[in-house]
Amino acid sequence: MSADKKKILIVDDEEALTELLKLNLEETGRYIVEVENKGSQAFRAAQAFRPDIILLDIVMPDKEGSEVAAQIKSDPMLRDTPIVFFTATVSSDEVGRFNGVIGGQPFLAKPVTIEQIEACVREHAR
Amino acid sequence: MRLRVKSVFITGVVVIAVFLAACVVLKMTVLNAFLKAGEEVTLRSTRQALKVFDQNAMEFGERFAGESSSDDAYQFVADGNRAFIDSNLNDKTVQSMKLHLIVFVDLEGKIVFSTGFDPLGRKEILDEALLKKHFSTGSLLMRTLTEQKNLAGILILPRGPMIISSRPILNSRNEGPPRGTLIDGRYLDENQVKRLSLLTDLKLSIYRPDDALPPPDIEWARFSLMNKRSVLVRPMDEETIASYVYLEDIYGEPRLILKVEKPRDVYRRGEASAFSFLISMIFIGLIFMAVTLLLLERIVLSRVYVLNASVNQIRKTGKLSTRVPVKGKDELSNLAESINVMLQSIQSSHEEHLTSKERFEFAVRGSSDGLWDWDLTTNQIYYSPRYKELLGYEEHEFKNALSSFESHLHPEDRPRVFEALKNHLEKKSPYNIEYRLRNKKGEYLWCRARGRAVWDPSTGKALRIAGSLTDITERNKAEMIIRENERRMRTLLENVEFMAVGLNADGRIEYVNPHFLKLTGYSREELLAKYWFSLFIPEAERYETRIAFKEFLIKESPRRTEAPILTKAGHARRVVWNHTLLRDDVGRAIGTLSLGEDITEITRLQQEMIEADKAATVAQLAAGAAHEVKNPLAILLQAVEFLSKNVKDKNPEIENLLKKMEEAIRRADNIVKGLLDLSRPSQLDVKQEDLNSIIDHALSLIKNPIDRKRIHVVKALDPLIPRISLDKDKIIQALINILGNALDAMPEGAVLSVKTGVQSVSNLVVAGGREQSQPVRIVKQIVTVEIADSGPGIPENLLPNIFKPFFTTKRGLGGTGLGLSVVKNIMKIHEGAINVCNRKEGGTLVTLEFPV
Repeated sequence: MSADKKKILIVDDEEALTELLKLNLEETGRYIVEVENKGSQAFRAAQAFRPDIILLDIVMPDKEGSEVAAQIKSDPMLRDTPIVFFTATVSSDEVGRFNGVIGGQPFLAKPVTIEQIEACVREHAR
Repeated sequence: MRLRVKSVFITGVVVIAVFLAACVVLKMTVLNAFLKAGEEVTLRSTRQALKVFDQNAMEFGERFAGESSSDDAYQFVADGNRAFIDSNLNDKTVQSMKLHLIVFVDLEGKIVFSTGFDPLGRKEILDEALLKKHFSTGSLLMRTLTEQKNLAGILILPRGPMIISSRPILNSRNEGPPRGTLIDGRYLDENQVKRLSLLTDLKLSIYRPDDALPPPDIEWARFSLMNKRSVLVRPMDEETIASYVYLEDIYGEPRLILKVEKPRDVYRRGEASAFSFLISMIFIGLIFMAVTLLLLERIVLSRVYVLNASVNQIRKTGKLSTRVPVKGKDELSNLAESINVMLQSIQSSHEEHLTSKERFEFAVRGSSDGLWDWDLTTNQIYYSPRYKELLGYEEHEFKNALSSFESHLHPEDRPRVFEALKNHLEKKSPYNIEYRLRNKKGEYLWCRARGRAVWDPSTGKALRIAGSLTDITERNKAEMIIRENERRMRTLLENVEFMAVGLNADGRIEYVNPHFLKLTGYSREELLAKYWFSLFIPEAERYETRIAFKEFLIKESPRRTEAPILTKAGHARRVVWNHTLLRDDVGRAIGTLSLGEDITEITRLQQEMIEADKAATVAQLAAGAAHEVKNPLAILLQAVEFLSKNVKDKNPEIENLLKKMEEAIRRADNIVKGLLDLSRPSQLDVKQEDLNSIIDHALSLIKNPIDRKRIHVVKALDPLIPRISLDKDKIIQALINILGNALDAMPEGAVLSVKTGVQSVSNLVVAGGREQSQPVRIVKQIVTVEIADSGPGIPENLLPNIFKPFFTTKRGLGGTGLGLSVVKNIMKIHEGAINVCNRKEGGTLVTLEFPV
């Protein structure tokens, strides 16, 4: 049934967070989750894993999420893979106002619940 | 001519003149006397010589007397016996006797015997005619016979003059009668004359006047003697004097000129003594001259020179204190003393003059005045060098003439100046006038002239007028500058956006500027001479302020104070004062002038800025912290979710616990979100919006809580408010924050009123900041939103804190303490304002002001 399961690549430098997200998401039985904790490795991980959706943290120590996104968008094979940003720097006001999309990019404000992620995947994943 | 040369010249001339006079006198008297004496002597000698000639002739006759008185001869005449002749009168005998003629004449006049020789002793035949003429009967020579008398003299014969003697022939006894006459003759030749010369010690010479070629002096003597039978005396040369006289022949006829030459002994002697006299005269003259000069030199000249040198020295050095030397007691020493006395008086008058001149020059120089002096009788005018210098001229460039003044006087001032002069000269009104004179550069200087005339006491007519000229251009300029400065200072005080207050030493108001009046609301008339402290200083601080004022009058400090004053309406304004102590001419404090700046607004703004700075700092910290806080929150949230799904044997306690954890995570997340709102950059999505509809929208968003609390909303929205530029989302957030607070504060069923409106406010603005521009009153419109609740209001002591971040009265009740901070931020970026106060009737009133 793996064909039905959506492949999610989570890129975030917080290992505890990615580990818990992977646990919680795979527990639903609807997703295959790959985790990458290094921004600089994210593109290679995406090429290898070919996810249906990428959850990408913006602020990472070695490589900014925006750069990673640009790299992915420039790859022909990955160009159409939807990216949802994780951000810790969005205020409640902004989340409400921009309705989950800033600059054409969907985003999720930390801290995020599994429900919110699932809703987002449903909406954006191929 | 120098005195010495003059005296030498004069004494020389005197000596020479005396000498010449002596010469003349000598010549005219002494030498003439000698000359006369010489001539006398010569005359006498000549007479003597004549006598000698006569004597000689007589002696010649005597010598041959024997011949005529001999018996032989007596006999011979009678008988003509030749024997006698042959023995006694042969040629040889005659020659030895140096006779040149012998003639025997008998009584009948017949020549018995004659023999003759020429002057050289040669035998000569006698001329018959000649013998007859002289020796015939009746001739003079024959008279000797008749008169029985011897005769001797000179007879001029063709061969020359001859000494002749004739005697009667007698016997040996010299007794008669005479038988004839014997005549002897001897030529008067040179030897004869020489013999006579030797005899007389005179140089004698004989000339015949009828000579064909006589020497010149003889020729002269012949003419001179022609008619007078006297002796002619004449000097031949320096050595010799000659006399001329006729020698008469035996007939008494002047037939020969005897020239007697004699050395001029007398005259020479006279001349020699005259010469030696003259020499001694010269010598004496020279001695006299030398002595005179020496005495003159010693007694007069050298002293005059010393005197002259001393006076010259004094003149050259100008040392009037020097005195000339005084020696001896005579007219010159008197003169020296007189000079000294004169010097003394010159010195004292000079000193006096110097003192007064110095004083005068000092005064003139000190006052840098020029002087002028106009002689009205001669119309001559004098300008002092300083006068000309004032006008920029050299001494020679500005002529001492009235025309110089006239040509430099400003044409407009001319009538005034001459009128003043005329009045002074005629009516003696003071001459003290200001006018313009053109200087060398062509600029007009303002000058003050003062003058005074001198009037003739008898006629009352002005004789001269003199005075001074002062350049007052600088003074006039300085006065103008002072006036200008005063005007500027006053303009500054009148227009400056500072309060200016002048108090006298009693603290009463003497001056206030318009800005002060505007800020305090008084009119000037209400304030002048009023007591400052009771009008403007709040009672609590009045005493200290008055003490401080008194101290300032003494110590002039502190110059800067900060104190509140009260406006007419009773509002307190905080003012920073800058005090200046005013003093009079002698330095006494007479009051103060203070400039004040109303810092009420500034203080408030500063306070706000401090708060805002604090808020901004917090916001920045929050933004930084948010990221770091949110990741752990995310982890916690995931963990709580994992646990709530995977914990087996869930009991209600664990479930409750997990729920509370999730809530806590949400709360923390909300706080971080609020902080992020604060820290957002002020980027606005500005559009022209209708504020009324935004308010409706915000109210609709909180419809649920309103309904839940059954709050009664009263809206009074002015439909005429203009649309304003604003960011709708931000304003909705601000409204929700305010309305949320109101809802929280109000009890159930209370009234919430929302009101909008337009107000006009006016402000004085100085546009451009240029000196001359007047402040402009700008009227602008603002739109206000008033939200009033009917809650308990805000305790007054908390009012200043309500905009501070994290200040909340609802801690633990969901309040983040960021709501009003966010509102204030939003209003600020809209250039609007928020005011929060308590309503009199209770509750809180929040007013938002938006610029149109």
